[in-house]
Amino acid sequence: MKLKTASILLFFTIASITLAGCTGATNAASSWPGLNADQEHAYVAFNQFVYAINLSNGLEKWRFPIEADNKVSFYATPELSQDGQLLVGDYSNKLHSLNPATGTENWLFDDATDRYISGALAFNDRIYAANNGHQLYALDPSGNLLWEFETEGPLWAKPTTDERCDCIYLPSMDHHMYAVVAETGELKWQSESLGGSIVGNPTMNEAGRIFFGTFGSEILALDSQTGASVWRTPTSEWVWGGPQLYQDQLFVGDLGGTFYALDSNTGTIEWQKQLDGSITASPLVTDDAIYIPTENGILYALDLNGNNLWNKQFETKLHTTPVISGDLILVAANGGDELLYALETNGNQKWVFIPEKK
Amino acid sequence: MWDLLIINPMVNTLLGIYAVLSRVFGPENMFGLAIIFFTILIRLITYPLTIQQMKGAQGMQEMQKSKKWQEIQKKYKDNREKLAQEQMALYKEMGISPFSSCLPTLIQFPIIIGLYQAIIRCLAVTPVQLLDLSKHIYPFIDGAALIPLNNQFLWMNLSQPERLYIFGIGIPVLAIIVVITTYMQSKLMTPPAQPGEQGAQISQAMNLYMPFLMGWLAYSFSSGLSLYFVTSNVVGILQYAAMGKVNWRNLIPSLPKRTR
Repeated sequence: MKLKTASILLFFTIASITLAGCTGATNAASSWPGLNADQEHAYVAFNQFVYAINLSNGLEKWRFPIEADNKVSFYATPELSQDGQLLVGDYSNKLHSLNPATGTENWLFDDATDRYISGALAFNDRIYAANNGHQLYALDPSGNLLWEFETEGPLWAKPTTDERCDCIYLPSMDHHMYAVVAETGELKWQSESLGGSIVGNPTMNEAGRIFFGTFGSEILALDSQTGASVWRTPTSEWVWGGPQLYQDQLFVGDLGGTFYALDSNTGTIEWQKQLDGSITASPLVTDDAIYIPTENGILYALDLNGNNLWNKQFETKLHTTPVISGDLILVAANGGDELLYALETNGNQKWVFIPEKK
Repeated sequence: MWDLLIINPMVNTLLGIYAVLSRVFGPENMFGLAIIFFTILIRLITYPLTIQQMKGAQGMQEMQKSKKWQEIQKKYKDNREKLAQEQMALYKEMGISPFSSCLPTLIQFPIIIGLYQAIIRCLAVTPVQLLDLSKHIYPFIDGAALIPLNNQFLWMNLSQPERLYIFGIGIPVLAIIVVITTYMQSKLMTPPAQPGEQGAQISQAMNLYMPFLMGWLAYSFSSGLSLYFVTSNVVGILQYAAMGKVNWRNLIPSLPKRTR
């Protein structure tokens, strides 16, 4: 009997462990790194830390917090405000303001009820933080809540704005785009249902059009005054990353790995190219090249006509939008020991940052 | 292979049920209802196993009562090895599988694991999960229209462990219901057994540990899984009751014996 009881207990224990394994370990990454940079440092939010890395040598300058906390993880893009704050939200519902020089915390906003997936928007002495709990929080530069605005769905994209309008344009996973008065948080307009969630950061042009992609497999242009659709262009698959505007061209990829160049005035596809792997990031567009990371770990460099300049294969997945600082292309990696690669514009690797395990 | 055969069909069935319910009633509470419907579907699919388990239990009962078995027990009471051999031979002769009574419970585990993964995958509360989900939706399901799923069901967030806050104290109501219904199901479905009989010992141990294991899982993991446990237990009891096989005396010993 004792042996049988032991066998049953062993069976249940194995079953419990098996099931527990299905939940994913506490420290397993549930998103990809958030990346930003200024002239001297790269800032990477990943898993339990936000890292500041010297661009000259790829060495860690500081990390926040100093000691890992199993309940806290960071994936949202760290955003630099004009008044010198580094803003980063975490998965335990808190928005942190850090000193980018030292990594010390200026203030903490902890009124949110859910995690931060996207980076915050710092604009006109205000901070606009979109939250997975359907809320957009407007804060003053000291982190005091000014107002909040609720949508029907989680907010995974960073809001955008333009200089001419005191408005915040807020994409939501509830399939709508919202325009909110920046001063008060009042709704200015709400778009019609756009056929799918919006999780990529939108971009705007000088004519006042808002460009973005949706899970409804479309790229859209909306009129920023009214929220009316100007054009809609179908894609092969869901569009995750936001488009990048360069002059009159829009560049964007979809989850099927197709990369598109569109005329921003008409939505006409000028060229498209099939790449290897899903595209979740926005491309990085410079005067000379377009850099596109794919989930299969390939960074593509194309010229502005879609011709291949070079490819570089990495051992890890690439989900994060690359960033340029000076003459360095910064590429955040997901799924290996390496967290950040610094490349020259010809694809040669200058350094790689591997966080020290502490 | 696991994804192809277990997870993907489960994910897409759940999404399909959710899509139909949302279209008819609106998305509020519908993922919870989709889990309930899906569980009923799983119970119907595994119904032949339930019947098999019942027949096995019934056969065991008959064997326990048979003269032949009692004679064998007497004859080989000092020779356990021979007794076991004769018992196996009798099982064979009477067409009984000694494992058939615990098979449905065992078969639940891959279903539970699969369902748990399917629920978590459907709710997709992080970018990695959502990206993963996007790759597993069948083309005939309009995933773009469904996402994000409404993960609220009554007071519960189905992607989180459930707690009902009363005066600031989080009470795991669903986990408690899981323990009670699992215990009830185990007791009601266990046929009366002779003391000291091997199968009865295993059943007793299972009846004791299973409610606590299920309760712990319900307490720790997302409430979507707890909803599956409760529905599955209730449907199981109802199935047995409909077949007239529920043994209420196991639960309430003071009940009068059923006369045939």
